[in-house]
Formats: sequence, C-alpha cells, structure tokens
Amino acid sequence: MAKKLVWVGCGSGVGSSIMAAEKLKPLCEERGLDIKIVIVNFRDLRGKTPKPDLMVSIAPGLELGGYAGLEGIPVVVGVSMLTGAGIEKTMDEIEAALKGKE
Amino acid sequence: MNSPHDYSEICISKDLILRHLNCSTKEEAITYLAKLFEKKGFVLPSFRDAVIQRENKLPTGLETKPYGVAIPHTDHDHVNRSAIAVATLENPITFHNMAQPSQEIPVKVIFLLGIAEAKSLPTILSRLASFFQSPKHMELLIGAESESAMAELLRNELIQEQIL
Repeated sequence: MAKKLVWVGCGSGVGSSIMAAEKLKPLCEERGLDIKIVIVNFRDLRGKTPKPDLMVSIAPGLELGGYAGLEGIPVVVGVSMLTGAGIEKTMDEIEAALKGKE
Repeated sequence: MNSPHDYSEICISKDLILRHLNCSTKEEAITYLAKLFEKKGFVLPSFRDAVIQRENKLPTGLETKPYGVAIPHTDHDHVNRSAIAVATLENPITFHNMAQPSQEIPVKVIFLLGIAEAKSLPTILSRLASFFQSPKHMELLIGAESESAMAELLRNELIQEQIL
C-alpha cells in the first residue's frame, strides 16, 4: 500500500487532535498501514493542499456542516482515541477507508 | 523510542491543582483553573473567555470510564507557557460530549490545557490520554491525599522519561 496522507483535525489544531494523532500512529503501524499524519485546524481546511486520503475528525459537531474542500474524501470520527472505548471499530473504519483508495 | 521534546517545557505543579473543587458549572470551574494560570503569568487575560467560547462550540467532555473527564483548551495565541491545571470535582459537573456535542455528560476531573506552541508536546498529551483512560490511575488521582501527591502522580506518568 502506498503511503497515505491522513489529516487529523479538531477545532484548534492543538490538544485533541495531537492526542488522537499520537494514539493513531502505533495503531496504524500495528495494522501495516503506512501513513503520514498532518494535524489540521478546521478553520484552515479550505485551500489546504495536498488533499488527504482520509480525514480523521476529533470534533464531529462540525461534520454536519461538511468539511470545506474535502468533498469525496472519507471522514472517520476519531474521538475513541481519546476515550479509549471503541478504538478497534474506529481502526476498522480507518483501514477500510484507506484500503478503499487503492 | 525517545522523543526529542523538552519535557521540562510543561508545568505540572501543586499550585495548578484544585482538589475537591466545589462549584456547579463548567464556566465556574474553568474560571477557577484559568486563574491559577493567570497568577503565574502562563496565559493572557483573554485565555479564560477563549477557552469557554471554544468549549461551547467544540465541547471537550469525554465519556471515559469510570469517571468522565474534560480537556478544555484554546489556541496557543492565548498562552505564554505550556502547563496543565487539574481540578477534581466534589460533585460532577455537566460538560458536553466531544463525540456527540448535544449530549450532556457528568465530568469528575477537568484537565485545563495551556498549550503554548501548536504541535508541541505530543508525547505528553498522548500520555495524558492514556492516564485518563486508565481507571487505576484515575482512582489514584481522585483518592490522592493532597495537591502535591496529585502533582507527583501526574508528573511521574506524564513527564518522566519512560524506561523501556
């Protein structure tokens, strides 16, 4: 699998997304997913390039309004990285989303 | 795998801890904690309002078990020096769920994060997440006998170099 670009984002690009990204890295390694993570702030999404292969959102409230400029890019909610509950399910979703892009 | 980050950058101290805090709203609790940062010059006066505003738009309540936690924070623009302030609450306070913002959840421990530099301290924040996901550590924190004991517990878990 070619290296995939994953954006991990929340409302401030600090705190929540950093915590989740740190948890995500070893979990992806475990599953043999070769990824590059970029922390993003929802405010800066429009116009940011290169576009990711996957968006992991730590602030699902914003999803309802859509993520600017990310039409067609899969979004997985990653709050489980912070609560510790449901991580396997989230990883299944992430793996499926990344593999779907082969 | 050693992180190159400077651990001494983040302040965790008994002066930044409120044990058995008695108040009824998240705004009050955040205000008490923000004042601790202000006293030390760690944040700008704008910090408190920025944290509360963000909390109302993008809630930071987490349904960890057995106790709910919250990790309020804001942009690094309002922060001079990275630090973590902690309050264990006498009675749980209502926050909204980060995973489902319309849902209210009871929070027993608040970790107010002052993050001075965007993208710094990933290891410490990751360890903080592991800490509050661990029922054992949360019991130790809530049952600790003093602010000093709480600070030491957190420093040991979050900052000390891990011997692998």
